[in-house]
Amino acid sequence: MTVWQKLRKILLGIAMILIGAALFIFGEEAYMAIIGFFSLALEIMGIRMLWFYFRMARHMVGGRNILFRGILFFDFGVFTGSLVWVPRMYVLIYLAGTLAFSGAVNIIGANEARGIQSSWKLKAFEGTVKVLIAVCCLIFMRSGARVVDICAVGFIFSAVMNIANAFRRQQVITID
Amino acid sequence: MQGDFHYYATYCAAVLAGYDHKNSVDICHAAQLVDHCSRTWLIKAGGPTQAATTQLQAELLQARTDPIGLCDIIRIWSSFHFLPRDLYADINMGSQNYKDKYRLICGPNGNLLVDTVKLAKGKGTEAAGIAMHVLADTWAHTYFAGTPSLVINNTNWYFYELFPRDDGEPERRQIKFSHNPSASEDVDKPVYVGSVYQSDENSIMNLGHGRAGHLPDYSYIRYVYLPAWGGYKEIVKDNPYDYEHAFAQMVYALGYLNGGRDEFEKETYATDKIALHIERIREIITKRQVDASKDWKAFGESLSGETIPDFDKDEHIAEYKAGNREDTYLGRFFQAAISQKKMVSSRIMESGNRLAGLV
Repeated sequence: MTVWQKLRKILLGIAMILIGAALFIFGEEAYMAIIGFFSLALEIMGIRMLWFYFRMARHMVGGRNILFRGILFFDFGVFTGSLVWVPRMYVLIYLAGTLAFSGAVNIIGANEARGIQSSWKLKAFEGTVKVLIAVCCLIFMRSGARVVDICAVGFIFSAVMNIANAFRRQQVITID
Repeated sequence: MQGDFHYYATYCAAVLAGYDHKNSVDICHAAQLVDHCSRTWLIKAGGPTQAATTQLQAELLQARTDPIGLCDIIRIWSSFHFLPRDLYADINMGSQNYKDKYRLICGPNGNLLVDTVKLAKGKGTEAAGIAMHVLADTWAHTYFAGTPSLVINNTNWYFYELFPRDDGEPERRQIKFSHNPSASEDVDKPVYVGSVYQSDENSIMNLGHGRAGHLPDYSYIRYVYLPAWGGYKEIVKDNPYDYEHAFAQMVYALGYLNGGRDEFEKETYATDKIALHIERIREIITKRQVDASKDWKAFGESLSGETIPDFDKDEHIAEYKAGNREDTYLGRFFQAAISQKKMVSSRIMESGNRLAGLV
């Protein structure tokens, strides 16, 4: 990982900690700003992937994955933006859902890594904690304030893991 | 390719081309040094950093992949390890950036190979060794480009080793790639180590044959896969065939560099000179092992009757630091490396391809 990539990961982690802190401090009032931020970030990611697909990746074996991911990210961005018109409870469920999805991806990745003797424990831990946080959100769904706090914990946990990953010594395969 | 071919097999080729033992050792030392002459090593040796012929893993992990960083990577990897086969390849799809990357795909018998071998003529054993490294890699690294590129160098799950069968159609066994560098490769399962998928086009993981691991470096293996650029058409990579041709072409090229021939031509091989030893060569190439150094060494020693010393990358540093630097082994090696890099970068630029920057 280059210094710039590390810096980017750390800055993303800090931004997520700030989001978590905002959720703690401003409670249910903070989500609209967070939803707007999420929506924009996902839309930009989607457009970047679509641009890459149409310029280069459509000629590549398996390039449609990039197209589908681009559409999916953009679609999620638009969907996230539309959540400002639905009751806050559903917004929180959506946030918990994204956390659970992210955790599931971590667990699947860890399982695959385990099969090929790669490092998997940290990934599995991260995935399990994320899924548990999402489950807690569902259990305490009736209490808006508690769900906000749980979501905030989820964000801060993801942020800390992001920053820790930036400092982890990584062995990778390149060529020689 | 690895030390077994770049060092020991190159020694064998030099002896068969008519070089004496000492010159053969000098040639194979230069050929192998190409895989060690990184900026980190150059600082230790006191050499010019622009003579770098490779990048260490640690250097690559810190390498910039913005346009300027990519120029630096391409100049090193395309010049010494992934010599482009056709800088004017007819490609009618994709953006200019896609076309430029496509035209950097490595392969044997390109015009740049002729330029490389001719450039080494009359420049000593060091330049000859560098040219032999480049030549050999055009065979091993075929179908991959010396630039980080997902759309060119990526591979997917469709990767099968081919095992010959008596009834004609070879048996296919799917190859699994582990992404843990410390994991051991199991040639029987088969499980090999390869770089991890990164969807970023310019990720360093997408440089050269990283996604296919070291499979191109193993002479015994035959496999079939779908290269990212290939439009879903299977490519069969027959390493035993390629390595045999690489060896025969090295003997031919070294015969030219040794003054035995006036011209170097593409697609010409010294099959006559290796005919007497072809069974032994095929036996070494097809033996199922990830390092054939021992066998190539024994073959080389049987050819010359001399002992081939183990490779020591630091062997010539003291001489370089002590004497008139330009007139030392390393001085000539660095000069030849800079010339090769300049020549390849110029050719890339002249073709209208700006990926290697302006020379």
